Amino acid sequence: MKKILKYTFAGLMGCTALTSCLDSSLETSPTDSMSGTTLLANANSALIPLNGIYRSMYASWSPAANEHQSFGINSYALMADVMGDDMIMDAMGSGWFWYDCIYNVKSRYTSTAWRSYDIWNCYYTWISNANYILAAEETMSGASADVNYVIGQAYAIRAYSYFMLAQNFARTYKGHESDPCCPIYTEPTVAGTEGQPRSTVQQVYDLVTSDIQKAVEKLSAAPAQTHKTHIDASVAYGIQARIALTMEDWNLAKTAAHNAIEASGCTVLPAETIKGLNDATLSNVMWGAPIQNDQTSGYASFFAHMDPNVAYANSARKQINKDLYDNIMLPTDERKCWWDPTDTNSERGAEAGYQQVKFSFSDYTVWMGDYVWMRVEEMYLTAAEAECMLGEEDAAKQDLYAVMSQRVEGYSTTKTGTALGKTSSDRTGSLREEIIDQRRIELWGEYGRIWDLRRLRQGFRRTAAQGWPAAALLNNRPTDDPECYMWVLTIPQTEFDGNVNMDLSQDQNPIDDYK
Amino acid sequence: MKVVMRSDTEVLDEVMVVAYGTAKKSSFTGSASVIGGDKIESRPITNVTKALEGQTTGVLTTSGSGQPGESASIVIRGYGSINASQDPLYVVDGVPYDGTLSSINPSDIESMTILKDASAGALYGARGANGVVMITTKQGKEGKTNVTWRSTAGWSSRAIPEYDMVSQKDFVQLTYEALRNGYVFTNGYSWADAEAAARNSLSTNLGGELYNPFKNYTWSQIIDPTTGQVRSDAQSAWNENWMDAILHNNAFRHEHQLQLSGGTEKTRYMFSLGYLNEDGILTGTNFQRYNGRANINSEVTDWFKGNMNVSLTHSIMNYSQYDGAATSNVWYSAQFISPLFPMYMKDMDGNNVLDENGNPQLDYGEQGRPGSYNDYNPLGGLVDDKSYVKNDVASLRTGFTLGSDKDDFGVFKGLKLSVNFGMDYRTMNQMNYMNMYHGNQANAGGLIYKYNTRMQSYTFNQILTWDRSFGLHNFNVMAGHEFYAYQYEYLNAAKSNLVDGILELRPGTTITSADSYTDKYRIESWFGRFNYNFDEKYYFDASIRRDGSSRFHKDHRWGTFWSVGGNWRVSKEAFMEDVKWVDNLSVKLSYGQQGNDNLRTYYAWQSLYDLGWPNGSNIGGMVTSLENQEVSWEKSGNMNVGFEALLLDHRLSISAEYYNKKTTDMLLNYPMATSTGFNGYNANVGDMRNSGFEFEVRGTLIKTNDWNWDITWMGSTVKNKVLKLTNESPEIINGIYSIKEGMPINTFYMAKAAGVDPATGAQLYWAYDKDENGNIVNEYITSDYNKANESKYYLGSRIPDLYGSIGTSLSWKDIDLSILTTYSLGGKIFDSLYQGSMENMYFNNNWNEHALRRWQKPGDITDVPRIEIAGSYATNDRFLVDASYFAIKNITLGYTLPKVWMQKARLGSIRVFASVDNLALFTHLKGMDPQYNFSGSTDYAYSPNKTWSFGFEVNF
Repeated sequence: MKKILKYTFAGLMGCTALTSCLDSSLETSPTDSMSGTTLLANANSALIPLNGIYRSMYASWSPAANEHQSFGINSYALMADVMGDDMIMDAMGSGWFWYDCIYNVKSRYTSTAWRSYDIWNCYYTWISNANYILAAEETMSGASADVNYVIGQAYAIRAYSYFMLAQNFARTYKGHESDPCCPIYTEPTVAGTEGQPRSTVQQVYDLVTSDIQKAVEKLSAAPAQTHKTHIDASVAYGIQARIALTMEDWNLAKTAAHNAIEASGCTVLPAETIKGLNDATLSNVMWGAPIQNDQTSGYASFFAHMDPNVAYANSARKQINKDLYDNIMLPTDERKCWWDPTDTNSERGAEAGYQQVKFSFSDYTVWMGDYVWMRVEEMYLTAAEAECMLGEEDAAKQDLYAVMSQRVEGYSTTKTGTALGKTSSDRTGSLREEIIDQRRIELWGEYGRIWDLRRLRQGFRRTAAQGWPAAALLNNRPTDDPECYMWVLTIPQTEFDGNVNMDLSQDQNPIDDYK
Repeated sequence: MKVVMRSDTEVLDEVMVVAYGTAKKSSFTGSASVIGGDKIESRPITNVTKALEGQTTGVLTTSGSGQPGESASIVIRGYGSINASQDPLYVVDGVPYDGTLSSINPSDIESMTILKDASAGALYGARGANGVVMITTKQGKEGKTNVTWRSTAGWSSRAIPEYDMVSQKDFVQLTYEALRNGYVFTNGYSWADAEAAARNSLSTNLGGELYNPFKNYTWSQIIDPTTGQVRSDAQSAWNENWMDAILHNNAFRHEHQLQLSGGTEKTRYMFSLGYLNEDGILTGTNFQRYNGRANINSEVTDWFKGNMNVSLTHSIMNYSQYDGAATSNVWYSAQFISPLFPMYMKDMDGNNVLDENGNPQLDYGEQGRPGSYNDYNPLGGLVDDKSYVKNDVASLRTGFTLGSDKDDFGVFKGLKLSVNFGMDYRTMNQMNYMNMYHGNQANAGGLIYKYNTRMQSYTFNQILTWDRSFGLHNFNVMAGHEFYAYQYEYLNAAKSNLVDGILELRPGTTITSADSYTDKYRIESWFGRFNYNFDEKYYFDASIRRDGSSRFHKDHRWGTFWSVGGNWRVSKEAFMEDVKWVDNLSVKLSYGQQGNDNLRTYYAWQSLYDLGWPNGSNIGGMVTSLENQEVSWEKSGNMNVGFEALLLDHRLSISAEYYNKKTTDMLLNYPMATSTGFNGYNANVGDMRNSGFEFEVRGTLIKTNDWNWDITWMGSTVKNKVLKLTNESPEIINGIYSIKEGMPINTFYMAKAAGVDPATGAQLYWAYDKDENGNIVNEYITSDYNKANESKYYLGSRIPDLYGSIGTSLSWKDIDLSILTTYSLGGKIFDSLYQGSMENMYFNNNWNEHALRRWQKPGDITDVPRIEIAGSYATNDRFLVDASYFAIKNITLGYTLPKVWMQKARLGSIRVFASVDNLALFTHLKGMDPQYNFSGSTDYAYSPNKTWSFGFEVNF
């Protein structure tokens, strides 16, 4: 018996040695992710990180508790609109965007669930993802047109992101060139990458202009967009036009806008055709997101906040400033169909603004609706404004008419000059004001009104007569002073926590309206 | 199980299950507490984690949700980590357990051992740093088959009372004042104009006359302009509390157990079957569990033993899928809703609108309920939306042992080899359905999510032990090898636009998501232990374990964990022989290093593109993590010193321990500037210390033939201090919490309230400036909330000064009574639920009664500022509440029927018992759950239950 024991014992000891497993069994890797080095090796697979960035431009991915008001480009445009004078929030509803609307977000910079963190994190996430792609510029294999397609887009994304950061975290370019802006990174981030100090507004715009120029060059030697989200030469020109407009580089704004129009091959469409703003395949759309049904984000989406068929938009209705609709928009303007003055669903009754119907789900039963990020009408209006500023009023009117001929039958204007009021309610009757007025109407809900107000250095005053609710009038706040810091976001606490070169007490933007 | 028994004269000396073996409590070098199965058996406990509170020192628990089947969380001896897991390791019958804790039938538990220090836990290596909870299930005993049948029935209700909220009239009054204050202080109206404007805008904000319950006044008339108060003769037509409509008191719970156990000298067995059905207090919530277990062990020969434990559990949990501030989460919406909103549809006269059958109809607010609760009714939502989790858990523990302690085995005497295999298998099938008629997914025609996950893990080990005594020298040596593999497969899909009544994906028309992935995790280990004692007087113990974990890069994968410990049984010394009143006295000391590899990710070191970002039909990925090959375990250096004393003829036992546990190489998300695109990367950089003192006193006050009365008092302290973070950032601030060098983890960091300005009713705060060295200078009081936000103070943390339990058991003849109470002194809670009903964000939120102390007119002196809705405040310490509490956790009264009767009836024994769990809780704020979590916040969560139950147990 004991022999059996001995043999079994010895045998089992031997087996034990065998079960001692090879180290390779301790190598595991995830099934939902992969390593970057393989992705960036060639121009074809490098489209994967590029497409990831584009998806994040319409997906909802901000930290929980904030994601319903953070869904990429459209959420920031909507934020910037409700911060202005033209888009009225009828009520606070579920609270989303309301705090942007009443300028009550800047003091919340310590939380990751508010705007400071959300915007800062979003654009810098795009920048860091773009930087990985750009770092592979020299090593990426593939036909040069294909490599240009990838690298050009990465430059454009980086330019766009820094441009948007500069528009949110510093006062406008002109007149504030030496103000602190945001830190600059052009190398890929690795563990331990040191945080950079704030660069000046000028330094940031230098990078923005050089990046977008590189993007234009690369993409001009690359194929046209293979997906509507992709930035090709026409979209890069469009972004360049936006940047130039903000920098008041009128020549560049003019040529970039014209180049964008030409490269895009897009055409102005009638107001009735584009109503809904939910079809990225229309021939006026230069850049947008056609969203398929398993890639929608439900309540955390633009149309959920716009289309009153859905709860959020129903309880926090988006309405147009009645002054803009009744007094500034011409009575025969076909765009009047984008708003419905007869809608009586607001709890505020006749005090309310006019309900928007410009934006709606294409099918709210499946949360479907494409996002439109840039359309050709904007380019004409940009060119018109630039030409007006250059004193080329005939050309300006030509570009203005390109849009307005599809908006108001027999439209023409005899206005002239570039004067603008101190606030948007101070009327001057100039041609530039006319172009801006059409821009306010045309791009309502799309461009971000506050960014226009900033670059125009115009203040505004909300009034009950315009349809604003009492809680959002901001009577006691300096909205009429474009030099104030109301429109300049605070930098999130997490930045100071991780950045040796930024100190909260020295480098934070003013938390109050002025200090 | 490798049971190492030696004869001992101490009758009362407990033998307890410890890591890879057993030990005697009196001579154990480490720190471990045992909770006997009898402490749980008669309690209406569904999830074993809820039985731990108050049963041992050094363990902090949360209350856990009231959802039947849900677990409570526990931490052992403080907070081991900042970013990695703080959860202990659960071990069932000797093998780490990966099933669900709710799948364990508490009645199957023989005992639980809590391993607290390194000497006890170092053999769990990389997974032991947060302590270990060892669960041992019942085994058969030699003798005739013993059959036990136990049934209990119980009724549950809320354990924590509701917050005191204001009445309808007060609600209208406060709404009016909020409007008036808005006009005065935001829009600059005169007081009189503001009053008039407020009266006129009541209707818009409160939902028009349809939602006016005061049918003898319209909204514009309800405020008397002369007094500014709601008219006292206003008559309300309804008052339908939403919470009352969706909670049912006396939710029924019943549980039945059948156990067979017995065996021969060679083979012993235990079979059990159990069924549990527990309704939740929230409509539609329920938990059912069916389980079976068979534990068999057999001694085939005197050198060959085998054992096999198998358990199978099937459970179904019906729950509400919503959490946080989601409209559909009733703990958010119904709990704090305007008291004006009726549950049932009303006509303009305030009468119910009846359907064709004459029944009242739920009000979904479709006729114009103001605010954001569109198309929503809490009761309708609970009934129409459906969610379940079905868990099937199978666990296997099997093994055999070769070898013998008998003399005729010569040099092999005492040498044993055991091979053990343990496997846990779990499939989870989950469904979340949002209905097609109302609410979130009515637009979409309903939405259904289905999840299916499969988890399989196994542990395979081979252990060699050698157990010999040479004269007074006793040796026990062990060496082993172990391999652990875990695999988790996830699958999920969702579709919208469904067919009514069919809760499946098939008929849905639109796919809204589809996803799957697999995770793998493996550990390979080598370990050994050396135990020596001289004459059962001096004990020495050393253990070592080397683990290789797949979570880390191959160059940093292997870690070594160890412990040494000693125990001196002073009472065995010659000089103690004459001290008759000391039955046992032992002093112990241990130190060791343990690890924590649970970084909450299986791929901690790798830089990865997450491929969950497809852009239309293009594959898309985003970078989610930065590579750091060096990331590795957290290490925990753990010192324990203590004594155990048994005195006065076993009538008094005292034990006390002091521990000092230092976590080093603590895993932190090493902060990076957000502008780099990352807030940090996984790195081992921080240090943190937990230390504390624990004591337990058990006394037998009365011990006669008929009477027995015991009292137990336990107390624990825990001091936590963050010692080191990173050079870049000696402080991590997140919301109201700061993690700062030199302070306890999660110290509250917020503005400090300084009363209310009598002139304006504004909230005042303390503010300060800082000199060039960062010191606070020039403190002053301000109403500027931005300044207050920049003038934050460190205001304590949730960590209690002292916590523990007082329990007693009393028996007289065949009647027994036991009472368990728990207490916690010190610490603070930021009650955001309270804040949410004192600084209301929306017109349809109700106010806490404390809001009635508000400032009303210039000159008022109070601590509650003027009423505002969606006002701007700095988060401040007004809502920081003392966390101390006293709870009556359980009272059980039992009666064992006289033996004489039993003999006549040919039964073994019959016991009947009644028990109440969570009977009462005394806190500083009515409504607050002081044990919601360990960091001291609260959330809109399922309130814990109080359960009355009755049962009987028959043995034959």
